[in-house]
Amino acid sequence: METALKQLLVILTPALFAANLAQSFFYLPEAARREGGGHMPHPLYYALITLFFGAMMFAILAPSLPLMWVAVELTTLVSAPLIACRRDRGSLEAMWKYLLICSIGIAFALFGTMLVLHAQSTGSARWYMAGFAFVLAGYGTKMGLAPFHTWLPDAHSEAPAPVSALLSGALLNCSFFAIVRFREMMPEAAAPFCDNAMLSLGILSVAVGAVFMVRQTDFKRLLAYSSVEHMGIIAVLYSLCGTLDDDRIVAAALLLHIAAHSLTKTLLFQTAGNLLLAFGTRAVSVVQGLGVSMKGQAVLWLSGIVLICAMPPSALFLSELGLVASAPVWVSAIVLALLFIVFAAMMKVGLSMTMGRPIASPEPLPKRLAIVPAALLALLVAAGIAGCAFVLPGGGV
Amino acid sequence: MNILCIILAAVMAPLFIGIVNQTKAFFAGRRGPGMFRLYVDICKLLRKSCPRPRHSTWLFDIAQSASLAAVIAATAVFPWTGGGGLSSFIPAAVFFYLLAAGRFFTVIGALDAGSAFEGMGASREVQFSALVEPIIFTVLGFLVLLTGDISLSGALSGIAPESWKANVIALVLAFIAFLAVFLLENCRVPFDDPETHLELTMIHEAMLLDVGGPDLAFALYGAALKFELLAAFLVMMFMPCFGQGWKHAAVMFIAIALLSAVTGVVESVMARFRFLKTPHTLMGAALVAALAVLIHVCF
Amino acid sequence: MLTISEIAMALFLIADLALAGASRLKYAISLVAVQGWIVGTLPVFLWDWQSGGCPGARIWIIALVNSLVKGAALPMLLNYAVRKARTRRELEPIVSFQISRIVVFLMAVGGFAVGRLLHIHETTASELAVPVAFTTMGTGCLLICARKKAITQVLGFLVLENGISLFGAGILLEYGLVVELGILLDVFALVFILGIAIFQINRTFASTDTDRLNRLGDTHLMHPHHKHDHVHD
Repeated sequence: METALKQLLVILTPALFAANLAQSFFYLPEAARREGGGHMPHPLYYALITLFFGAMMFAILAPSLPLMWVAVELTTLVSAPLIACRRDRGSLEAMWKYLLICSIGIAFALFGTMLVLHAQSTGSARWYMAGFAFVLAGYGTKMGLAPFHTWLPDAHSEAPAPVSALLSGALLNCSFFAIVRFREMMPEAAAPFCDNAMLSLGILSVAVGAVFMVRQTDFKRLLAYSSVEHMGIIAVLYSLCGTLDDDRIVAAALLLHIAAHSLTKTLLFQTAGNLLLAFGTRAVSVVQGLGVSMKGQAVLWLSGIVLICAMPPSALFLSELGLVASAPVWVSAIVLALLFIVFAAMMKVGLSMTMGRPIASPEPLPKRLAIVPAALLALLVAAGIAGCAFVLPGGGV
Repeated sequence: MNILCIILAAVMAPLFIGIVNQTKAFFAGRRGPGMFRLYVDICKLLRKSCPRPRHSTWLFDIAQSASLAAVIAATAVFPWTGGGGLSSFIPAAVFFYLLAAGRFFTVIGALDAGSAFEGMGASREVQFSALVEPIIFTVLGFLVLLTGDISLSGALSGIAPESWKANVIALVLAFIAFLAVFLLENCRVPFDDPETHLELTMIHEAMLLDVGGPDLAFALYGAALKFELLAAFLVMMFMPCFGQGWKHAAVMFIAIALLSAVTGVVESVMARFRFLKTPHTLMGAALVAALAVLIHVCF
Repeated sequence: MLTISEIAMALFLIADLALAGASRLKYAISLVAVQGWIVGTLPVFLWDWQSGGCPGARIWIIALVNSLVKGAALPMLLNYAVRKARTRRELEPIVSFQISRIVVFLMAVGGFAVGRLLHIHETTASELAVPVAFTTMGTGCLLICARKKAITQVLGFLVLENGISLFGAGILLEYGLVVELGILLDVFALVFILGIAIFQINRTFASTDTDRLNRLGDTHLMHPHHKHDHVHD
């Protein structure tokens, strides 16, 4: 699992970085023009986002656990100024919360790392379990697992769109990978505890995501809570990997889910950033009737929402099908019920924003802002259709 | 020999106050009143007549003498030679009961004088003594746990050098906690400032405003004895056992002299706490004492 | 057994208690500095001098850099941030100092109980290290949660970090020089960025109280006239 995930992330992270860097070239000058002064200097922005990417790759490739800790903490440090790119009250507050909550979480992860390293010398399962609990809480904070997710909606909604996309698509995966590395080290005696902990945090995250998405009035926060929900699904999938006898389907579903979620979330955050530029607000109640006023963005937004809700052409459909098919019945039932709530909440926002009459008139956007999301959409749909066509008739992998 | 040591202790008590004052004078760059000033003061006061407030009763008349008697009793039960005598079968708590009895008489006398000022002093005295009580009894409990002996000499000198080494952390914590008791009970900086003699901020001496002549001499001598007693308690509690008799007494008096000098240094370098901060500090000291018990119990 | 490290641990405990009751920012920062010096020099004291001979360069470098950063550089940085942001000198408690101290004491009780439960003393250099580390971590969390100012949250984070390093030193964990310095660099950079953030927050919000930092949430778009939209000062 660890190796497969590592291989996936080594490919996925640079791809996401490239997509968001490209989008930054189009997005940043527009944002600076429309939002007025106070922006961080653009060379600094590019330096930081490149460092951010480097730190994430360092975290994925780190040879030892303590070194990985250093790298993950480094990702927090370099991405924090990016969140406060606009330097206004909201983004400063989001940055403060992000830095503080993540650093405290990461401090606990360091403690957990120490406990696990010590457990390796004593070999006691109790030390391993204590260590994993702290690691899960620590890196789980960074990964956005409920109840440690509180920084995530603020940071994701306040950051500039490419940064939000990178945070959600790449950073969360890195933190998940850190947890995976620890989980793979656990001895047999500690394994049930670790899996149960992951499973409960995963279900809780899906539930928290679902509850906060209902009646959500801010479309970027909606996407942030969607990230919490998908991280929950990833945690549930991973916990199943350890408990099932035949984990091939779940393992494949896990990898597929991670890749599909990252790409779809990038598409959505980039589109959300475009809408924010056009309307100057993140309120769902203002951004209405996109189908009339901005047809292109409407297509991107609605198809993104459909894809993230795991409607059939989406690759997420396959991975969630894998989850439901192989999980114990009660887990499937709970997750399905929660996913239904998520679906209803997201579709309500998606439809109300794209259909109906416009309330505010948007400032027209340059076409180039839609290039990267459109390419992502094409890729996702093609991959999803190919995947569905390949997997579904066979009735299994 | 035991009795000889008790008499010696009683005679030397004012000397330690002199040491404190000389140290302070040295730090302030003054010549100071000399080591034996308190002896001179007491002799002078003893020759004077005894004024009485108009409305006071017999309670006021006996207050200072009774108070001094209680403190002398405490001196008499203290194991100056490391054990033997009364101290080997009297529970350690009785020592503090005797000191408390002395305080009781002083307070009664102050209330009987009928002055609002002294009443305030008495109220403060009682308030702070209530606050130091938890520290005293936590430390006592710690000592009894450590030595397994409830008698005064056993609890104080039952620590063999080996077990002293094993428990030094807890002992240091208990020492710090009791140091707070020592400084507060003797109205020393940082809890109280003896320089502000008979002023409103004083805790103890506000009660003595109407006392004069031999009674004041008794009060001053009682305070000196109390200083010596608590210092001796602090020293004996911390020191490991190293035999009994003259050697013990001699080491103890030297240690008390050192402690007096340290008190003088503390008073020279620190300012008095704000009055409201004293309860907080005392609570901190109580927690430190509790930490000592905790460390002792757990390891 | 009496060693310098045990005395250092006792000092650490007292510093925890004092931090919980500290009402002055400067005093609290110096207490954190004291803890930093102790944690920094601890590897040298915990070294087994009798059988190990003179410790290698790794121990010396780590001790030196650690104590310089944690004992001198970080406190200086914090003091600078306090001055620059013109923060008021008092710590404003949400949980009173007295209760904080009792909580810290109870955490010490818990720490010692856990230490006994895990039979830590068989595997660690100092019996006191692990309980004291737990207590210190708890104190750090308490400072983060129970004080109002942004800078106390940084302070609390440092205390938490000190507790974790103490734990690492106490169980004689060896990462290697690179990792230790990496961790240290991260912490240093974090405090540095947080210091800058405090300055910016102070300039933007006209205050560094964290209760001003509550505009973001899941309801503010529903209530356009949010109560904190205007600055009270």
